[in-house]
Amino acid sequence: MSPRFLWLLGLLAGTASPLSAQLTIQGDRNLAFGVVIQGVAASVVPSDPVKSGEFEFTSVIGKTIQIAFTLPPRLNGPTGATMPIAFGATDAIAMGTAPSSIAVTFDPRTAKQFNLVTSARILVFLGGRVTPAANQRTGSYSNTVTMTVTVF
Amino acid sequence: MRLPLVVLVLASLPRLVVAQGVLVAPHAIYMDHRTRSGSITLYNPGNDPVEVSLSTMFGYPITDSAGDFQLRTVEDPDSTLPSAAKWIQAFPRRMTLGPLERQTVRLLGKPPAGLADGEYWARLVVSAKGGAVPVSGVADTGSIQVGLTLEVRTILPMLYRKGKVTTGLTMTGLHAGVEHDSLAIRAHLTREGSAAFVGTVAGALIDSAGHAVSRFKVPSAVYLETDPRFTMPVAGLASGPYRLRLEITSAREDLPSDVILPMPPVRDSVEVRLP
Repeated sequence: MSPRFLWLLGLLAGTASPLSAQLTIQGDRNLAFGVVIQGVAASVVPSDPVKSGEFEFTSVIGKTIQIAFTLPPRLNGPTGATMPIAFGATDAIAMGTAPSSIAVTFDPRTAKQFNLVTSARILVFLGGRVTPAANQRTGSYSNTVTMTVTVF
Repeated sequence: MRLPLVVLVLASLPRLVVAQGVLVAPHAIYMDHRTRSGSITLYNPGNDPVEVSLSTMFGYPITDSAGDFQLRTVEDPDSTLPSAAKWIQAFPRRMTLGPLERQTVRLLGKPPAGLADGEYWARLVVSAKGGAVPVSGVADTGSIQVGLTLEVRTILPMLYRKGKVTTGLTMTGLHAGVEHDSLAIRAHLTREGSAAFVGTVAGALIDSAGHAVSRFKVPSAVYLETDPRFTMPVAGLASGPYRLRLEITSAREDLPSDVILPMPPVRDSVEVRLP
């Protein structure tokens, strides 16, 4: 038995609340467009197994939660350069991990409610589109995406 | 539809970036005026340090026109709103959790003098982000590399009680209609008493022989009033008349029994015809 598993058991045993009264939220994989070309728009679809951003949320079956993203309008690059980034109506996918779970495509620009019916663990994948200018300055461009989970 | 398969494949792939997040327990915080304190446990399940910060704000759940829950937040709540956001503080408010490390955060209420009996609400915001994470691959000054890092935020209910508090519920306007393979159920719920209703909504669809042919049960909360939408599956059921029974109780399996405020069950029913 791994030390991590033992530790989790200890945490569960040490809480006065019901065992299920915990939640985990984490970012598993950054949204990475990789190398892009000047003047050529580049997209990452949420089903991309390597480049899409991936979040994970675990709570209690039966719980109602809301997922909302804080999405940047631009990326910040070298010496003040910026690059537009956009997100579309089908740029997010949420899916439970139960065998009967069905993927739900949704718009990451608006908050979305989920009821945890068959799976207590939800994976959320995020895509997007960047449009580098023809004279875009070379270098690394980045920003931050925040996923907020509200428990009702 | 190929999408679920694609996502399942995604879920089975090894992580390319180590997870950055936090486990929070419990998912709802109850405090009372006797101890004026509470606590939550944070745990970093990942292999990299996580920076965690905590803050409070005022908000409570409402429903939109579709019956979905939203968090109504008020930056500067006036005296008509029972806000505890400005006088509940978390210690520590910022920390770095090492891999597999846990931290207990103390919550301390410092209410104003003369606080009236009742229940006061706030929301605890737990934000987590990883340390320095490479945005993309190896730096190349001759190319353009693009990436976004991820942060996560959880917003939890926090309730502070002083003196004896009570709750209750009235249900009006129960109605239901078939939407695709489900029965969509709507009702107007108004809270009574001095504290938020936190409990469970259960529904059953009864056929002409008196048998329950479909059921649902969901945790729910009514802070002031809501018009929630519930669904239950009706695919495969014979067409004809049924009776929908809805029961709302204060039972909750995911919360300690000592924080549950009892109330008499609220029931209503309505005729439903399936096509």
